[in-house]
Amino acid sequence: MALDRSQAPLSAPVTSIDLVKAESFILTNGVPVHVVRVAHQPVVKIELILKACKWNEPQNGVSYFASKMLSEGTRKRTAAQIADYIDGLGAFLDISSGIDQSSVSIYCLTKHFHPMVELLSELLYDSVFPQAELEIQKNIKTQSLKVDLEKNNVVASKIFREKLFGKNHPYGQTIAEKDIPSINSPLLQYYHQFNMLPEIELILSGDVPSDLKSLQKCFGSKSSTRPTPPIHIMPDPQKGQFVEERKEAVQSSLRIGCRMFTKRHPDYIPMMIVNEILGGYFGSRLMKNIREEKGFTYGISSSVVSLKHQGYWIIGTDVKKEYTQQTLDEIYKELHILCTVPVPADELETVRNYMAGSLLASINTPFALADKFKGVYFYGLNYKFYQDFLSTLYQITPEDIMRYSQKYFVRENLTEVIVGGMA
Amino acid sequence: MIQFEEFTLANGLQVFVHEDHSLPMAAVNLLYKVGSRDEREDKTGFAHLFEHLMFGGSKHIPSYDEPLQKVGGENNAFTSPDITNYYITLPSSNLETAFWLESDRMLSLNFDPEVLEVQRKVVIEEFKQRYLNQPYGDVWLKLRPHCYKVHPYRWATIGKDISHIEQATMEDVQSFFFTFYRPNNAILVVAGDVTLDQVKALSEKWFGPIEAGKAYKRNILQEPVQTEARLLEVEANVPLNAFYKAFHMPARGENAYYTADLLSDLLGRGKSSRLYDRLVKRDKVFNSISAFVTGSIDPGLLMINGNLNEGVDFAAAEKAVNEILEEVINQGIEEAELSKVKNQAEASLAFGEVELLNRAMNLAYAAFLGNPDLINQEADIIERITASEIQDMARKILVPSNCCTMYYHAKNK
Repeated sequence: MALDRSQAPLSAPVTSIDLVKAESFILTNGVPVHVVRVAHQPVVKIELILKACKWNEPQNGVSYFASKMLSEGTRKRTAAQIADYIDGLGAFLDISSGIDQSSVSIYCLTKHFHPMVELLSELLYDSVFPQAELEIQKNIKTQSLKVDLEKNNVVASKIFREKLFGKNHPYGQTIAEKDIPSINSPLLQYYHQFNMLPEIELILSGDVPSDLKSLQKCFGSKSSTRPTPPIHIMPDPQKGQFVEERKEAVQSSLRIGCRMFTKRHPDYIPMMIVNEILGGYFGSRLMKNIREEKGFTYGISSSVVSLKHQGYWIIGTDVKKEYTQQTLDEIYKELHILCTVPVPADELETVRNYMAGSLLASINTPFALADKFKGVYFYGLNYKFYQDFLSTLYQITPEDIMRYSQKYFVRENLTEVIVGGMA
Repeated sequence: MIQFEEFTLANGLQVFVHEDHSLPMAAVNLLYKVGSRDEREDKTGFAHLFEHLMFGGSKHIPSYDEPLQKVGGENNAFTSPDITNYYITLPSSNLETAFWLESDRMLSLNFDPEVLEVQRKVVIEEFKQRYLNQPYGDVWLKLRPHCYKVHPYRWATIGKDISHIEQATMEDVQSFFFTFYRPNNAILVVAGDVTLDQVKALSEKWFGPIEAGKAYKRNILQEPVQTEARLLEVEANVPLNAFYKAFHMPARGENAYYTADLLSDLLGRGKSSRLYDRLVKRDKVFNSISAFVTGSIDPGLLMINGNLNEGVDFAAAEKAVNEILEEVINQGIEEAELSKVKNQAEASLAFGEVELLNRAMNLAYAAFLGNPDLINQEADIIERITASEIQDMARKILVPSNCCTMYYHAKNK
């Protein structure tokens, strides 16, 4: 029998997903520890979660520098000795300071687990924030901010968040060069004492040893008082179009979107699906129209983003400058179609299977499994979220999709940022 | 240890199977032995443009992406100077869809003129987005022709000039396809929740009927040994002065490659490296600095790249870097430093094996180098490198006559 290459082979949808879950326990002082144990390779990630972040910093830049400085000197070691020790064992240190929380992660071979746990504890509890090292970090950040300001896409995202959440709200604020000179070591030490030490959590993933006694010794004895979390007033978003002209730019960076909600909102999962159809994957409507049919851009995408207290929805792209207006027109056209025409069954089937397959593909490493845990736990949700996601995915109808689109894709509510120019 | 089996179809397609049943997923990696080094000087950027065309529909299947998305799969591809690599991950129950799609576009593309027109525009926007509209985006467009005078590595994968992309014709597309996209010029790796028998049967069924192409004889002019130091100065609208040094070094397939790689690690990998510790931390000459290797199939480059602090001039920066290089050349390295870079390499290899797709890609690449077992031998090769071999390598390559330097000046605003 001749092979019929025009016929797709038989296939089956992904209907259930078997996720390795985190197991949690607490140290005697109440510090929570979450373990995702998958031992295929002899590697492990030790992640320390800090509640110190943009949300609770006394002035712009403090949480960024305080977390960066954790590896720049302790009572026992200088910055150079810390770097030597980590590199010497072939481990990697990654510090990221966030808006709602921050994290310090060490990736290492399992055989170095215990020394790296001890080091992490030293970085947290014994950091001394040397002023000389701080000056180096301040200089590095000042210079990299200058480079960032030359990147249209970075500037567009920054303006977009400012318009959405207000320049003075932690969600709308970004660190600027002018914030840096006043950062000093006493300020960071004070912040360390009162905001970094309390309410820590640990997440271990990979080939985690069964003997975890070193955790109790390193993280289980200190206690700290919980600070009162600050309250931030979020002003109304600024809607409409905002253009920053850049004459020398050959492309425009566009950002369009509005405030939405957090993961806890009942419309979050349906809107993830609606957004996927619009601009969430390579076969999305925006990609098909603006890249694959018109060739205006190398890429366009949209996403639903959940922060802890609020969320937003955003479309982003870089397009040939002269096509800026046409691209905007096409984006609004696609939004209008989603609001007025039911999604064809075939397209919905593609999106369903694609999203289910992506979920399966996104749990392919122990570290990714830990991310899945963090993605629910820190939003006050649990693993049921992923089951809910799958069942919504298979139940949502074209009419539902139209209804959600009408509810959230309201042109008058949108903020539109263009960095580059209209022609 | 990555276990694998291999077989070759009658048409020359090499197939490798790596089983891992821990998740119901499969990774399919198809490497074509063609990159920008195989291009003609007046048609650069073609291998990469072609990669885009591979998604524009094949002989029996009008769209590549959609049927794959419909079975829960994801795909992408990249082009380098040496290879064009296509990869898919999908639920293992739908493995056959990957065979169906990949084999049809190996059989023949649809050669739709409209696809060419649109992808030409997309690639031009990619050129702008990545290389022109970014600070320092054009660095490699400048560095390549500075370092290579003869070898096709002298142009970037995106192409030397937008006009080459603008001028590509359908005739070029077809001849490129039938020269390079043949089963005997490709390596297929199937990894994950699959079995050898299953992959054998699917390979025979879908790829077996594709005719072999004429064997391609690569005839690339190799770069002559550089005999004089080179300096290039350019100016652009960037906030900081940037400094680049490129040293010619051994090819990816040679054992000496690993020695040069460790040398680059101890010079500029991480905060404890010599360049960072001394020039960022202690002397505050640079704002950032690192060293790495390009790892190409033909002899590559050991790169040093850093941004200067304000108020530091290029001559001072260059002197500071050279002092560190001379120390390695004259005094060699310490045992502790050697064991550090070996431990870093060991950990990198272990972390590189965590993801299934990475294992599939690494296996395909090792097979392309002519030794698939290399993926399991690299750790030993690295372990055996001695401090004196690294010093010898430094003596051999970190010398002015082997070096291309670039000063990338920030225009005064």
